[in-house]
Amino acid sequence: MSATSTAVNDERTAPIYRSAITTMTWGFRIAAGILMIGLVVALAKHEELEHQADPFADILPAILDGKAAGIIDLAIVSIMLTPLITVVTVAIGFRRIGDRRYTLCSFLVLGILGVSVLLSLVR
Amino acid sequence: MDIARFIELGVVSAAAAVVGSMLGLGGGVFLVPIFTLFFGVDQKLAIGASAVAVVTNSVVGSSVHLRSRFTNLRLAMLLQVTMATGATAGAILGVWAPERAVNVVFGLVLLYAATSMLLKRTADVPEIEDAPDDWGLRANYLDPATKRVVGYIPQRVSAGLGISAFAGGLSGMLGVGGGVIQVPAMNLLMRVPVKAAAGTSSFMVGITAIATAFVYYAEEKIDPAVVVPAMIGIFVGSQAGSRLTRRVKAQNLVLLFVAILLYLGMSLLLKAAGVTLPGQK
Repeated sequence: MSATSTAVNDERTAPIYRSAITTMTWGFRIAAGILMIGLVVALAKHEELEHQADPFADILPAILDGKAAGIIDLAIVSIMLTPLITVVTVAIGFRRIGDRRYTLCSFLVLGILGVSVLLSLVR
Repeated sequence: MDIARFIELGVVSAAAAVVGSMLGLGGGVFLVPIFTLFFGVDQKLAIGASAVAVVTNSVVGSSVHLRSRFTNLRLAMLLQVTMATGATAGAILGVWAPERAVNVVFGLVLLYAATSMLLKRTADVPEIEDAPDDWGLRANYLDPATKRVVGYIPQRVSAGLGISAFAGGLSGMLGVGGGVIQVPAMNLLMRVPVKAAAGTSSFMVGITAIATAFVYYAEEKIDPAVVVPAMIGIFVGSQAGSRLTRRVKAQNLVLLFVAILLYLGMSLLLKAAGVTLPGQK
């Protein structure tokens, strides 16, 4: 394997790796932070954890009503969205370096995941 | 909040993640059988919780693999096309499948995992210098153990795509990551070094599991009272497990872990046949 071609390849893809790491790290931090707030509110208000997550449309109203359940649902959705947003950043990264094949692959993956996301939106 | 049950589920999830990370299996593979057999959690709710826990584990673990460049992003995106398709289809099938059928499939997967662990289904892959790279998947990483750069070109890509679809289908149906199939397939079939296979799989399973998680969310099978302790337990347990792995040789415990997998696998198969073992629900 040519050391030069590998090094050039590494240099080109380095920003994609960096953006994926940043998205994963912050996605986890945000979700964990929201979850901790939700649990503290649930404990403080002696609120039982719900046995069914709210539909997406009901999460914000629940949070505005001060319900811990809404905050916890938001944490669950946040962690679920993190890999999805990572795929978006990876797709953008491949597009920026002009790698058409893997831009297409990444958008195909997003399209497939979009089907399951749409299913949950129409619930 | 039922704190006692929350702690019980959290501790069990943590223990599953400790064992799972020592075996390189994740932890999802233990969650569903333990939740259903010993805590009486509804099977579909357990699968939904496991899928969210797998996403959490992947989000945390992937950053480490991405930093070390063990993850091959091109390979991950390529295989993910069929794996995510399989996972979405598997999740739709799993959410409607009878509990008994899911128990049979899960039991067989656990028996397969136990067998492959006994046979140690990974291999040291010789470096491929001049193989054709039609898919542009050539990659390399610095191996911290040997302090040398390891280069590789994944082979048999079409077969890898097929196996990924199968792994995704099982992952979607059972709420597990699919690494138990994906890592040996990448390593033995595609000639990807073990560390790169594990790093790429760790990134992929999180994406696969969200396909499952969203389908279960749509079907109202996400129960925060089960999901939250599972998420926290899996996170804490996988952190502890990866530290423990450096001190304890997992090989020394492999027979114990195989016995656990066999017990859980057989229990699910027996449950599907209408037989419940003592202490189980």
